[in-house]
Amino acid sequence: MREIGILLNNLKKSLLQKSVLSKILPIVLTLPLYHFTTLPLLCQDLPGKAIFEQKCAQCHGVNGTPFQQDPNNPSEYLKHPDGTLKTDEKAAPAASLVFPRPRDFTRGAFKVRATPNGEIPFDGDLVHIIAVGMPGSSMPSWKEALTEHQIRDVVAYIKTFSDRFQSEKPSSPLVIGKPLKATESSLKKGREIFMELQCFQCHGMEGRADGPSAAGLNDDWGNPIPPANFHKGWNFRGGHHVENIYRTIMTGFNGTPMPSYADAFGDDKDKPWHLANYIHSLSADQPNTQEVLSARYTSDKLPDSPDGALWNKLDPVDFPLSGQIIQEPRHFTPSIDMISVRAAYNNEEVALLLEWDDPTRDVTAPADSVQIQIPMILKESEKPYFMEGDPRNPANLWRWDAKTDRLSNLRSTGMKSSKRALESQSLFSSSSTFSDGQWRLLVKRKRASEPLQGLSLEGSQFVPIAFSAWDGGKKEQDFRRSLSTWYYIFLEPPASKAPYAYALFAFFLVAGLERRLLKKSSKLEVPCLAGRRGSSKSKG
Amino acid sequence: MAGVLYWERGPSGPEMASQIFLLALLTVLLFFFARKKIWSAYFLLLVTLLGYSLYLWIKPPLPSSLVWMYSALTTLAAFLYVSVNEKELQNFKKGFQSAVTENHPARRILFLIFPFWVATAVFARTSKQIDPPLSLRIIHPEPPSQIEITPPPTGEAYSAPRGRSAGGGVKGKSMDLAALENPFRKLEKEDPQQFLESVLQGKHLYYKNCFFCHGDNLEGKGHFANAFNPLPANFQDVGTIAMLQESFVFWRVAKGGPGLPDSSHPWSSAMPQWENMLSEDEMWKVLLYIYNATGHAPRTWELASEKK
Ligand code: HEC
Ligand code: HEC
Ligand code: HEC
Repeated sequence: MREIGILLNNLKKSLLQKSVLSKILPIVLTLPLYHFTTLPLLCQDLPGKAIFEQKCAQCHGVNGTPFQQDPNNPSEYLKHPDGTLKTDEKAAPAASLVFPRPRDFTRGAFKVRATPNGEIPFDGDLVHIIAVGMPGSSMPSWKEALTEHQIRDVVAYIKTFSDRFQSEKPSSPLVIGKPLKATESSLKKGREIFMELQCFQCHGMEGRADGPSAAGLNDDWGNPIPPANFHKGWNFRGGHHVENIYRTIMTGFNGTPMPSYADAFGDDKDKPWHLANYIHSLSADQPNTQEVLSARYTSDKLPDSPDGALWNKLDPVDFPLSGQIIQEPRHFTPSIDMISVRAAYNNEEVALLLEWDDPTRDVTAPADSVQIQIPMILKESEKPYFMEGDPRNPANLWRWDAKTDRLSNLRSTGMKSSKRALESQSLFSSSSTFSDGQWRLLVKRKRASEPLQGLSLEGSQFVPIAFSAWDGGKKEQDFRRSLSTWYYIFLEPPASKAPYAYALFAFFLVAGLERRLLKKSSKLEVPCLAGRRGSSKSKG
Repeated sequence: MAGVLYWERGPSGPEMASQIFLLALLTVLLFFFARKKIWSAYFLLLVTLLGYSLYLWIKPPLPSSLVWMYSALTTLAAFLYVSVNEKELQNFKKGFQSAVTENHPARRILFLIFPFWVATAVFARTSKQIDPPLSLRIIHPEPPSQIEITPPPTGEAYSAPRGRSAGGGVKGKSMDLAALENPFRKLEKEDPQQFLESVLQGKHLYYKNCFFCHGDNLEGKGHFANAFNPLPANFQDVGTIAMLQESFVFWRVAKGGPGLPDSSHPWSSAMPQWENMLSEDEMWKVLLYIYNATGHAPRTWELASEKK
């Protein structure tokens, strides 16, 4: 019974994902499965207010603002001592636990628009952004949960929160037109324009959100707002296509320090496209997530620093991290959302190169830190609990912090357990660099070790691995961290040529047998199948 | 963050090539049988082809036991059909025989493709990267018959915001899962106003505690969901809370990932152990909300008519 369930589930998932089939088959095959889940949504044709209160108010607030208004002065908000706004726990319970904060609609300030800087958006802008959501924030995409009609109703309702929609009219829309080809020279020009317009002041020289003015930026409400990291395009609020980036550059993000550069290019229509092409080229479309981190075998010495030539030959695997919201004290707004790792090994050592973005280098307590976790003992059917192990299956933690710039080797039986320090001097070496908003940490560990010091890492073995990271600058330490669940690291066996030989052998063997069969059957054929052959011939 | 819905290592180049060759082989045979009007062989092949392509499309890959079950059943059925009729059987045998012995264009194509298929298949097999240990966890295991709920510590110990109504739990209370019912559910008939109020409190709790993983729209796509494997449960799906008894769901919420038996891989589930953070009443109210918001009703063993 359960297997049938798995089958249906998988079938449904794969049908929904294959683009070729997604047009026809889901309608035929998955309607019965989805019947129950979509029906209530499709049938209830709620007016905007009801939809808003049911689906949006928990973040945006029943009255269109997640913040507490000052009772004495309704146009002002109450603030925490640090200057950030107090959220309204009753009207918008989720608001205090997400960052960036949900939008306050009472000011009519919207980020993703085709209207000139400072102006209210078109209805179509709002419908679009609600349908696709705002990546990198908690604002979800609503196109599967709401019909277009319902989204239009909600938009009409959102507009009632601000008088601006009554008193103002948006002027001419931005015409995006056709992107320029992202040639080498276009990208080069883009980089020049990037320097000329000083985007690096906020976004950093390499676009990692670490510019000199990045730390102090606030939005119009007074909440801190970090600049976008151009290496994680999938987090762009307004989308990562080059047209989206062009739009951001030309219209800016209202309510934030991200300005509009519509007037910065004079009559040159190509310049903004060069810039957009350059920004677009800095990021992949998606992180490269994998279940297995493969360590490549090399017979040479492993590099001693994160800049070794070997690393350029390996593709990093990206591990998404979540805030630690599983045990108290929970951390809902983590700073580091991903860690990228490459791995290689030789006969003596395993080396991991960890890279993660962090706008500031924090070497005093709480210092930037990172942790690799593997089991203390490898069992076939069990793993330690993914959060630093459990008493039955302890975990082995390799913890690095920027203050000591060293690794400690720890044995742990849980988040709250006290950690036992294991011998690390003879096992580990590490080397780290920080530049332009990125840590690069090389960790090397001896493969052979005493059982009490941790696993002996053998080839062709799947070893569970998990990661944690702390941004000291955001006061992260202990439980306040980002973490992942289990993945695997696998020491790939050295490449071999044998499969080619097997395949060639199989090919000739089969071809030879076929030849014999052909010869034999040409003899057989005449007496026993001649009649049939004759008839089929006369037909053809 | 970008979404990965499940973990998948796509087929390697040689694997893909051998799959294409096999599909081509089967298709050529199919045409051949259709032309020869050997329908029993035709259908046998069609079923195989369908099964095979289904197997290729479905991701994540099906448990091999299921694939075997399908192949065995269909093959058996086809053979049964063929062997009841002596004439059909003869026809069938001849069909296969003529496919390899008779001289016709289809055979030439078959004989051309076949060695390539074998070679690519051998290459794919021998050069294959070893797959990670298959983690087939039982999603809905047998629950324990009794559970003991320890209420969360109260007071100033934790700074993180908790539910609206603090405390309320009973110390180390032991509960009989079979007899367990949501104490707020009866309000639906007795006091609809109070019931709605409880649902609303459940909603608050959901957005203070659960939506980061299980999503705004309860579809399992919260903004942290990608960091976890297994992925957070999708409550809109008919395969989760809709098919479970409320006492089972209560057990899952109270004991979380760590409360699962080994067959369900407690070590990899990010589902928190909510008894440490919510009171018993709060947990029941969240359940009220997740059922209410998805439009599902908990499964009961009583007669449906009695409930309605
Ligand atoms: C889980 C919380 C959450 C929910 C639920 C939610 N939003 Fe949002 N929404 C956000 C956040 C956070 C932002 C701000 C993101 C940012 O500024 O980067 C936002 C921004 C917006 C914006 C501003 C877009 C822009 O261009 O600036 C609109 C419009 C919006 N939400 C509409 C809605 C509607 C309509 C719903 C309900 C159907 C909804 N939201 C539900 C969290 C939420
Ligand atoms: C005064 C500081 C500042 C400067 C200068 C600045 N930006 Fe930004 N930029 C920001 C901030 C802050 C954000 C993040 C807005 C948000 O998250 O809502 C941002 C976001 C962006 C985004 C991402 C938009 C999205 O969809 O999330 C792009 C692209 C961008 N900026 C491009 C540029 C370019 C190109 C320049 C130079 C021509 C530039 N910025 C100059 C502050 C700045
Ligand atoms: C840190 C992420 C996270 C949070 C927060 C979280 N869950 Fe889960 N939950 C999961 C994951 C992952 C699973 C799937 C694995 C499993 O079954 O344990 C899951 C499974 C479940 C299931 C089991 C569904 C089934 O079909 O068996 C229920 C019920 C559930 N969660 C309810 C809740 C409730 C209620 C809350 C809030 C009080 C909550 N979860 C908060 C991650 C989370």
